[in-house]
Amino acid sequence: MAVYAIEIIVVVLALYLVAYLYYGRRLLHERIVRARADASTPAVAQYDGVDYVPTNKYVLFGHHFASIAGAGPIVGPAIAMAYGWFLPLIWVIFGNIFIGTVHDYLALMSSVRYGGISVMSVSENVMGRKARYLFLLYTLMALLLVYAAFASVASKVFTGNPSAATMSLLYMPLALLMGMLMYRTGLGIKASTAITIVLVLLAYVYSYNVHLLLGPDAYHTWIIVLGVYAILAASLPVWYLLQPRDYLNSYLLFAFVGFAVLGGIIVAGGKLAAPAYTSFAPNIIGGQPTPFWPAIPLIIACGSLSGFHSLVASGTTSKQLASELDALMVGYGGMLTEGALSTFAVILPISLAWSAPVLIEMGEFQNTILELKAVPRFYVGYGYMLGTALSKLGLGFETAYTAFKLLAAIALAMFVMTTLDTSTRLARFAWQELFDWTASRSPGAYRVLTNRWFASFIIVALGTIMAYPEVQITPENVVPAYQVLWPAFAGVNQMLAALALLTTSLWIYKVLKAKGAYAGLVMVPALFLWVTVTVGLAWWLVVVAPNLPAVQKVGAGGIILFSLILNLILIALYATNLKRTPK
Amino acid sequence: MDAKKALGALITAVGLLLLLYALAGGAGDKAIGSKETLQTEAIAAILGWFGVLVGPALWFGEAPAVVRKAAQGGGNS
Repeated sequence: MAVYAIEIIVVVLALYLVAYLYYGRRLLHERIVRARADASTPAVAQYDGVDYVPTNKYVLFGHHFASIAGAGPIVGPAIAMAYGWFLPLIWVIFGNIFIGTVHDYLALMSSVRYGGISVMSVSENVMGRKARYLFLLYTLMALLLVYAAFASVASKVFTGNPSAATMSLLYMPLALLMGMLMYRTGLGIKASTAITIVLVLLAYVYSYNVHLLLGPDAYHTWIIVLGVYAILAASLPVWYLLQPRDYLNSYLLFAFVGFAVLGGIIVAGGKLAAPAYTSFAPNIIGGQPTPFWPAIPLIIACGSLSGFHSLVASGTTSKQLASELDALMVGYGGMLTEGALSTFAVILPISLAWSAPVLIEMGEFQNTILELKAVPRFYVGYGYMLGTALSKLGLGFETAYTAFKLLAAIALAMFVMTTLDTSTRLARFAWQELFDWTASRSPGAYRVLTNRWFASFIIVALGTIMAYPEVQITPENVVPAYQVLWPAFAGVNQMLAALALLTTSLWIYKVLKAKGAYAGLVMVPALFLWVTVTVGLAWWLVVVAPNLPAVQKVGAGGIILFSLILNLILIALYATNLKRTPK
Repeated sequence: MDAKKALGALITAVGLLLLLYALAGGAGDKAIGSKETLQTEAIAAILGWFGVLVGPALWFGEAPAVVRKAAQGGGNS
């Protein structure tokens, strides 16, 4: 049966609309959480001008969306296309609607109701103090790994694509300028945005022609430069750089998704060339046969659900929410938009470009797009769909193809930079919460340990230790040190998602007194996710780990084993605290 | 102008000059710096970038009035 691009677009948009209006607004927002316009949020009640700052909901949506949309919604679905297009699409849509959006929204609202603390600290109120510190420590370790990975990826992108480096050099000061125009000149959001977008386009033209080159050892130089950048960006007030930068990023993201939808509509008659289904267990993770269940959350994260989102929602976003009513658009809508990104900008284009003769003629691949690695698979698919669409409007295919391939590369570079400094800020929050017990025992030590510059420095220093040195994992393969642990990251991230959803499900049950079907709306997906991730990690440990190089077997395997043990401790605490009276 | 603001203004000005120097040089050579050595232009670009990022924070200091007002007004957007 032939399936066409337009059919996918219509069905997915309709499902997302129903999910937003009914599941999100009516059930979660109005019935379960009972968000109120007159409730004071932490951004207002604890305003400090640095991290706690009430923010316009559109600006905050930009920050939240850009922060949760790192490389994950792109790379994961691109890899999962090895199953054919149907299974990844199903996981993105249903994972997004029933788990990802609920997880993100509840992490945000539970944090808001507890004064802006992280979801890890919220767990203390429903699962006890031990759970809180275990959860915080685990999260801090995960964030250090994220920092190391993204510092390394960004350094490689800037070394291999010096135009992206020039663009970043210009983009950040322009974002700062927009913040100045918006907040200090009285120009307003619209005029400030228009001026900045014109300047960004000029910067793009300059960057296209001028490369920023940092000498013979550019990778290591970039690691240091990005470390300094991350300390600055994570310590400066949110209104200063983070908000305007992410607001600007959201335009890039919307243009990126919008072009994909338009392209899909223009090539509406385009039949999906990819097979709907290839196999239930193609060789994916570690080259091993990878069963769709339980392994899919280890492949597709952000586009469907991701633990990192709960850290953003209960980290930076909850401290900037001006009104509880904004949480639906920011937390729930942000996640739906990310699912749309995966569907329209990744799954659909790759399905169209699957074995396109023009791409074979151009030498992009020999038989199918699966021959390419995940990131170029995404660039080529996106470029192909937009190239085909514009060639129908009379523009040359190759020109449009090249231009949109570059847009895809720049969008990815910007997401990576955003994730880098957001993860540093989130790790700083986790670090500060981890040491809050010192406040009463030694106020001096507490002040030093939780000083935002000192804490950011510690995070970056620890992350750099994993990103800077290189280790030999096989006789032919030398990689940055973080890659010894990286194979475990997907599992750690999704374990965080399961624990965050369990925590918030307990919160709605114990504190918000949601019962019956309302409680089931959150508890059933939470338990499904917990079972899936737990079985997935066990599968990884038994099937994938034994085939890894020795150093990764010990490093990444050790982390997964530790995760499983911690997971069992936390589920035991969850069960024993089920009847505990919440604070 | 107090010392902190003066320092911020100075860092911003020096940062801008360094950045503009690097950008102007890059426009002529089609590259800022080179692959063979770590050149002055590339160092100027990076130092100028840091200066432009951190200088205005010291110069303008605390949160803008519009941000403070949002907090005092209850924050509803």
